[in-house]
Amino acid sequence: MASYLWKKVLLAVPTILGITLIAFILLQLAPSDPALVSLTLDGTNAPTIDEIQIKRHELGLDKPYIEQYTDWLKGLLHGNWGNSYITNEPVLDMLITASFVTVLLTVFAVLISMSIALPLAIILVMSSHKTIRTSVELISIFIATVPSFWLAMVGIHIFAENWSLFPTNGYDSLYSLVLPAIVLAIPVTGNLIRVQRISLEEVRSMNYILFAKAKGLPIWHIIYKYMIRNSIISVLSLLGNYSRSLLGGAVVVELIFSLPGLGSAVLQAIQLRDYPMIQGYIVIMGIITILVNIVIDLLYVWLQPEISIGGTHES
Amino acid sequence: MYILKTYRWFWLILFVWIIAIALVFHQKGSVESNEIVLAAPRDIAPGPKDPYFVSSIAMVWEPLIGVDAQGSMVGVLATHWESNEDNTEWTFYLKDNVTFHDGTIFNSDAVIRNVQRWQAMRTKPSPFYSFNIKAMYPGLINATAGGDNVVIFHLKSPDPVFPERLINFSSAMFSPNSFDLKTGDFINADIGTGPFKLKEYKKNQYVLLSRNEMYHGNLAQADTIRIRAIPNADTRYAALKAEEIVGVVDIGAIPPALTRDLLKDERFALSTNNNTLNQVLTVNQSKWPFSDPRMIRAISLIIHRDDVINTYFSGQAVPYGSILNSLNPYAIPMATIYDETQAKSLAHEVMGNQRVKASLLIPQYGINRYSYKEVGQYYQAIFKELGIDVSITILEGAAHKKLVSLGQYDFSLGTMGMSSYAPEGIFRTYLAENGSMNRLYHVGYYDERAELLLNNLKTDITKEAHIIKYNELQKISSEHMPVVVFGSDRTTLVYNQQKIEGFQALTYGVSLDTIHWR
Repeated sequence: MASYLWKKVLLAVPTILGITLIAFILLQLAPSDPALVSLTLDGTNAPTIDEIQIKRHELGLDKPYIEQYTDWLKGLLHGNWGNSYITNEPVLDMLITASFVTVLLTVFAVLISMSIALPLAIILVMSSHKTIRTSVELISIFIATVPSFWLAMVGIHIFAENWSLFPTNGYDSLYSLVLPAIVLAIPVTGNLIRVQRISLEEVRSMNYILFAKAKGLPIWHIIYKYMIRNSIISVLSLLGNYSRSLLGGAVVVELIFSLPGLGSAVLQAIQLRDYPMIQGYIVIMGIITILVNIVIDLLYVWLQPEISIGGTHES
Repeated sequence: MYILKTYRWFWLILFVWIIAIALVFHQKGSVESNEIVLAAPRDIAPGPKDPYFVSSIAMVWEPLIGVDAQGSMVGVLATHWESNEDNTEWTFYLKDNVTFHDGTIFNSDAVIRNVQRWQAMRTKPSPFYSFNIKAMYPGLINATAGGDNVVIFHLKSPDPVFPERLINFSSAMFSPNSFDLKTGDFINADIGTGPFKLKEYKKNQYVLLSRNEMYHGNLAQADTIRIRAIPNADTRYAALKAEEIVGVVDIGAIPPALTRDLLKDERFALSTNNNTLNQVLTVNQSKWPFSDPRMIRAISLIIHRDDVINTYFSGQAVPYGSILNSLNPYAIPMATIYDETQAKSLAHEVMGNQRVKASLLIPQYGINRYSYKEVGQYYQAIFKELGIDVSITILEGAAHKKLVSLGQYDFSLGTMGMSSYAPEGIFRTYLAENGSMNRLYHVGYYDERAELLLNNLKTDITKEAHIIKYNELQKISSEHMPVVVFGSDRTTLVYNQQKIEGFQALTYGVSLDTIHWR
């Protein structure tokens, strides 16, 4: 297990480096000049060419590209992620603050999603009532295809504007995250229902389920002890993928709900060509992705000990 | 016990949910109920690294000289001012009995320390007005004390409009104990003398202001005001409707279409005021046919300013055509002439029967704040009459700036403005051959007479001589235009009139000190 974890971490290093290199190249190709953007933040200042050159020098943008990239990497290795071009504050501090809201929002969304998807998938599999099955199936397809921004606007209009159940925006407390998390969770829930249903149906057709029924075990016991446990692996894989896309997809939801998370921060950084912030975001997302992968792999083993990871059988 | 043990995961998950729900609802009502909550489209308190920490909208700090609701210059921390004969020394008399929020006395020493901070900072970017000592106070040598409440600014060369340079952000006074003199960064939040203290701020979230009970003027009417940062216009609209906020502040607070919609609801009212921005169409004059001044004149003549402004700005601007903003004390109102026949004739003189293709760049902020897309389409339609086939490209801010700075455009829509009332800033930026806007955005403007007048301004001692040249420069800019000005911007704010009173849009921000619950 330990060697597996090491391998994962070692493999992550070139992966993150590769991503940051590609991101760096793409940023250089984008039509923009961070020095000009930084000096014209107010929309009225017209800096002279000399002032722009001085700013470029100050930000290190007049150095060769290779040097800019290696300087940034060296800083990263020494725990210095650089300062924001716009606010001049340490990027790492800004990212850590923003990560808290985004991770909380994502965890909340995953919990909501799982809590809704699992019971509905069980109803779908166990129900012999065709209308219920078709309705749940159709609803799951519909909600899986609804875009988050639309859900956010409709959610705000109904639950915040008209019914005043939730705040329209901001992050004052956990309560502020409820509506954004529901919005973020809904499309994922639709997909989870479908995958969980397929998985549960496969397990239901197994002989050990038939045996358990023949033994006269109560149905809820069979579902809880055998069906969920054995079907959850495929859902976990999907959830692993979704956790990553939820983190990324939180951008729109954070923007609409004015949440000070990673999504809002990176969106602003992209608009203002704040390269250190964008690069830092990519590293943070890389780290989170790797951590999620490791956690999912460990969950596989924990749930089904017969699964081996890292090339050796675990017992 | 068996059920507990056998279904332990079920109980655990149920327990986690109960705790989560309890936490969520426990935190639900944490906001103080007597707070007046407003919203702005951006964070109005960028913090210690910003040259001003917080926007003047928050009324936390005050300048030596400000402007009143009509836009006229008024002393705020300075009672009056005077200059020596050649305008190289300006003496400011300071208000008595003023203290900063941290208890430090405001006097000539505090002003001198602020001037030293300016000189140490040199330049510092800000989303409000970027600090640039050379551009803001050209020729400033230093400031010395002429008494406890008298401070003298010493200048290298005569500057009859030095006070005009000091309005609002340009003469913001901060407690000498609140900043690091070397870097200019703030070290604490007890920075100003204003009617509100900065009680709390969270970056990109909100600013919490509390009344300064020791204020030297009339006390603010509200105890506490929270200004939230809500970047999305639709969310600000929803927050107003849900009565989570009772008003919006700052430039671009609410787009015209949403304003119209809100005003259908009797709860909401509009408050507007002129501001220091002009709506302009920048033309790249380094390329034919726009390098011919007659073509720029033709473009200006075919724009029906009343139509554009009334149709697409919904009170967010007024028709206007002068390079100096309508609030500027030296602005001469110019008639906004619409003459399609003459426009076509001028275009024909330049282009004959040829047609040209041209690109119009629109920055994204113009779509969020104004109706630039519709305005662009209007220009696209009317410029056809002149033989110009316009293609419109909407770009996010950074890409727009880059393309314009590379000269890869023919037309660009935007706003122009200055942090001060000294007209030289605008004239040198737009009319001088080496003016930063002219160079940076490849406008390609050159006018021999304007160049001569701008050079003469450097040596003119008296205000009268300056005014004569300001007038002539404005006349030149209306005939040989560096940019086509089509509107003077107005701050347009919406508030809930059933909840609050005393909400009045100012030339920059809102009358925060008079807002109170109904």
